[in-house]
Amino acid sequence: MKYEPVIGLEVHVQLNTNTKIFCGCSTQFGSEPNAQTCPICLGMPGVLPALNREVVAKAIRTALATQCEVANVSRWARKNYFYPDLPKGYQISQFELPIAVNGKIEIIVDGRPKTIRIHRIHMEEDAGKLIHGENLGDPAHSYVDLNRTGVPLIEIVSEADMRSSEEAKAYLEKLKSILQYLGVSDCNMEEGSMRADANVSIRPVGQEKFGTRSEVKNMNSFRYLQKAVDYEIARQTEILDDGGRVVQETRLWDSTRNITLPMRSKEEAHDYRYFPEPDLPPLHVSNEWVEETAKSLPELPDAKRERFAADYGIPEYDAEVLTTDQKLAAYFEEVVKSGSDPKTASNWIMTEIMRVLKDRGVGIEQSPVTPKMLSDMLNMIKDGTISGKIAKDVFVEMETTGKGPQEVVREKGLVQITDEVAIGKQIEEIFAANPEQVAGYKAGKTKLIGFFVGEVMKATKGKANPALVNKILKEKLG
Amino acid sequence: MLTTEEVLKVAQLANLRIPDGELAAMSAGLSDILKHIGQLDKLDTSSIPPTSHVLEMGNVFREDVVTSLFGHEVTMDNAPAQMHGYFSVPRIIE
Repeated sequence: MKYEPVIGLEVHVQLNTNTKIFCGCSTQFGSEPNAQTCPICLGMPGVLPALNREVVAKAIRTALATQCEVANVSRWARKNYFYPDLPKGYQISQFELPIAVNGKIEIIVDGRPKTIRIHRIHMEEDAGKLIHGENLGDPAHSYVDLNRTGVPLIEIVSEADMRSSEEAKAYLEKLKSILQYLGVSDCNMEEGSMRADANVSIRPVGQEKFGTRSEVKNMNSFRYLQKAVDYEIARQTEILDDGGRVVQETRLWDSTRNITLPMRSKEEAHDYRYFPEPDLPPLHVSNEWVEETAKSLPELPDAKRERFAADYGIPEYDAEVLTTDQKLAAYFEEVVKSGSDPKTASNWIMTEIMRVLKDRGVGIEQSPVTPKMLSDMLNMIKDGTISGKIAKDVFVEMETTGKGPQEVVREKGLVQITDEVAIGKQIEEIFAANPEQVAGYKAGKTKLIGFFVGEVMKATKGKANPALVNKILKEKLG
Repeated sequence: MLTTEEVLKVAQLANLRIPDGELAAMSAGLSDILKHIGQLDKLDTSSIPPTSHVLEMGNVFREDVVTSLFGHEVTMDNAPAQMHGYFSVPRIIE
């Protein structure tokens, strides 16, 4: 039978505040285990949590950027469960009355836009980190680091609006892009500051009712998300085709074996007995606070993409690629501001610059070729100092040495030959060496022009101005 | 009246062990408490907004400034067992 996948994502994002959500401990990543703790996040008796204003500010920014309604009154709840990474025995979260509901973001898959609705956004504290015995010491023990306990999170819950793993990936990528534009999180998936859980089910095409879903946890990369969702779709399809029934359960993505596995946690773990948190008063967010926040939002990816396409006349695809990363977009604009043709700049950034960044595993801010170097080089192509072909060599030299294009061209003697007499002389030599081709051309084989251009470029090591070479060749072969 | 199963489930969720001999007394006691609290159901609360907190107070914020570091040593002084700076607990299987 033909099935349609139905996918919803729950994304946990660590906010990049200086301190934890309810205490003044630092949130810095990578320090000595348990060094960034205090009586509050350790869950000592008698302590009182106090809400970090910045957490709320960043949650509101995220809510507005995803077109959510911000709640004027929201409240905190205790989610109760016992686990060693949670010293209090409960996580302070939001249950009823979250900070924001009913948002949406737009994704583009295969060139087609699609709206994915956001069900809710709520704030909560992160739990600590567990290391299983054999990785540190005794296999009969687990080891607990509580530095992450109390680090602020927002959980962004989508509606089950995605219909393929590509859409799920596109949604997560768009979310990451928006969050980075907002500056609310570094979204470093490897360090766990952005984590996705996927709810996946399938239903016969045409059926309205959702099928039974499984929840896949533990995906910390776009690739794993896509693979895990595809795996779940295939697994559930096989079960239904064999006449079986999908069991509602939580599964873990195993990235070494490329499969999902059921979690062996006990069933009662799902009885969280939420109740209002008595230690924290309700949160009031005034309309003024929301309006001020709205005014402070940066230009977001969608608006920037549309502006790039309209103002610079570059293709939608280019605009999409360039605006996914705010810093990449800024790089492009800096190059264009120095007078470079936008499409040419876009081509160079999307091919050569992105290749260099990928090879080096760095972001655009660490590009060895600065916007100034690239725009200077593009201007040298435009004014005929170097050819587009030579520019590739200049680029490689700039990348490896960090020298500017003028310096590279001067040192390597790469200045384009635009001397008509010199080129003409070179052409005469080539004609003399290739009388058959000259005769052929004159007999009507005009495609041989390519041969002559090639010979001239070879003889001048690519330095002859191609347009000029063509012009002189045609004059001489007339 | 709460059933024995309900009492055992609540006990399990709360990580409490109840000796068999005390189960009957426990379910009777808990049932009495629920009955007592249940009197509130008789009140007409349709015009009262839900109470999120017993005190009439609004936002209490902290500024985002590092203050209350305990330090690794002080934290670990409380640990019944530790290894390489981590709290050591019986193995948790997932």
